[in-house]
Amino acid sequence: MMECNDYQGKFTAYRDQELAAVEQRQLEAHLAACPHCAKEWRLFTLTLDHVAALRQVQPPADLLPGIHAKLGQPGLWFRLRDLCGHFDFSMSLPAAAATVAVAMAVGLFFKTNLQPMTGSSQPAQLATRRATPLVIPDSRLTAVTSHATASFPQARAAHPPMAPEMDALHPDIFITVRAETPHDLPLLQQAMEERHLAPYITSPYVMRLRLTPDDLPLLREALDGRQVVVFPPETVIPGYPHHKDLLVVAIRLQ
Amino acid sequence: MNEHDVASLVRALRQGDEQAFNQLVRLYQARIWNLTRTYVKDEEEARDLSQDIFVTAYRSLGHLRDENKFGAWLYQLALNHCRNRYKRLKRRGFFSNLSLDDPDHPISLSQGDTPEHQMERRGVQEAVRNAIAAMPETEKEILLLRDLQELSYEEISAVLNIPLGTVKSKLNRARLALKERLKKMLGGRP
Repeated sequence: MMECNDYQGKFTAYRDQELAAVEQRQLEAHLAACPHCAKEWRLFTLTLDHVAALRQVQPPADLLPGIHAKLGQPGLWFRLRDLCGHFDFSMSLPAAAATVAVAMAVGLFFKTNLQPMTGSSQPAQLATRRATPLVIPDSRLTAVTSHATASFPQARAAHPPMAPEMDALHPDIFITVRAETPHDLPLLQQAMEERHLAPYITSPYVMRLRLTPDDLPLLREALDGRQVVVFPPETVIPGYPHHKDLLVVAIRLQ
Repeated sequence: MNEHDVASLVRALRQGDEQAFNQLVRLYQARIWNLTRTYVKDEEEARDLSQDIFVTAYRSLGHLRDENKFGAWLYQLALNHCRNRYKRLKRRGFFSNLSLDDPDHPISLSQGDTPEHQMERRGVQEAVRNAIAAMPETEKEILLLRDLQELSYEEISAVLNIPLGTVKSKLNRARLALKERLKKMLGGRP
């Protein structure tokens, strides 16, 4: 015996004419006999009618000109917007920095205190284990040409795109970014290009770029609001590094 | 304009025809505007967000594999933008001053009035937008894609990358939840 909740569970199928003829007759008979469900059905249809009414709102007339304006001034517009108070370094980057700092302190503590007791082979093993996440397997470095930059002249770049073979195995900075959707990579690419950084997508989930230490704040902006892990952790300290003019950055979405 | 015509415009744009981009914007701007306007509720934010979506679409067109799926691809892009913008605005407390979406503080009804009349009389659209905005992300998106954008179940399944059965069950849950939320907002009685 079906109850009111069961019938109300079929409201969507009834509204969208997805019910079989038998089910439809049963539901209609119930609605005719049950004042409570009949009222709920009226509210249900009224609710959806009001949602449908939102469709009638027309877009603003300046939408298209605004799009052209943004396409014409990719970097400048976003910089101005940032200057107007849109700086919002989310918790993710400071939190990641704090986590890495704590991890380093703990690591340093154990290294300082336990190393004399571990024997000669342990430091080498530890070093190998630490280095593992930083090495990008060869199989992931297969170049996949990004068509976006080639097709659209608006994507200006301050630095030339990095050839796939160049410094591919030895990034100075390795960043893991938590991806929530398959579109995170193009969105991240766009965020970088808006800041005149020139990422090169080497696989569906890896991108690389070269930048000067002065450009690191732009990279931080592009990663704003994302959950990231940065190696080495000193990257987040202003002025890092002092001994290099050009940095190779590998970014992997995970 | 059918799917084939849209694919032709996308191809033309890829070959450098800027007018094709304008046509695509005109074709989709009302739908994208409705989506963003309902998602973030604020007109200025929605305008900025809609423009960003089309700018991203223009710049990321190289990532679109199948020109016949431009619509679904654009919706995926738009939803990603909406989610990110919504999260950013929420972090900044942008929505905290909007009390209509608070079911614990319903709008009081005048004596003898009914929710139906109330919904028709008062800022219904704003109330509906607020109620939608307060819904969980997945339910909200399914509802918007179906009842605002009029996408088919199959199209929603493709955009959100979830099975057809899940689309149907979540849509029903979302619609019932919206009905209940509006009831609470408009007086707390059926």
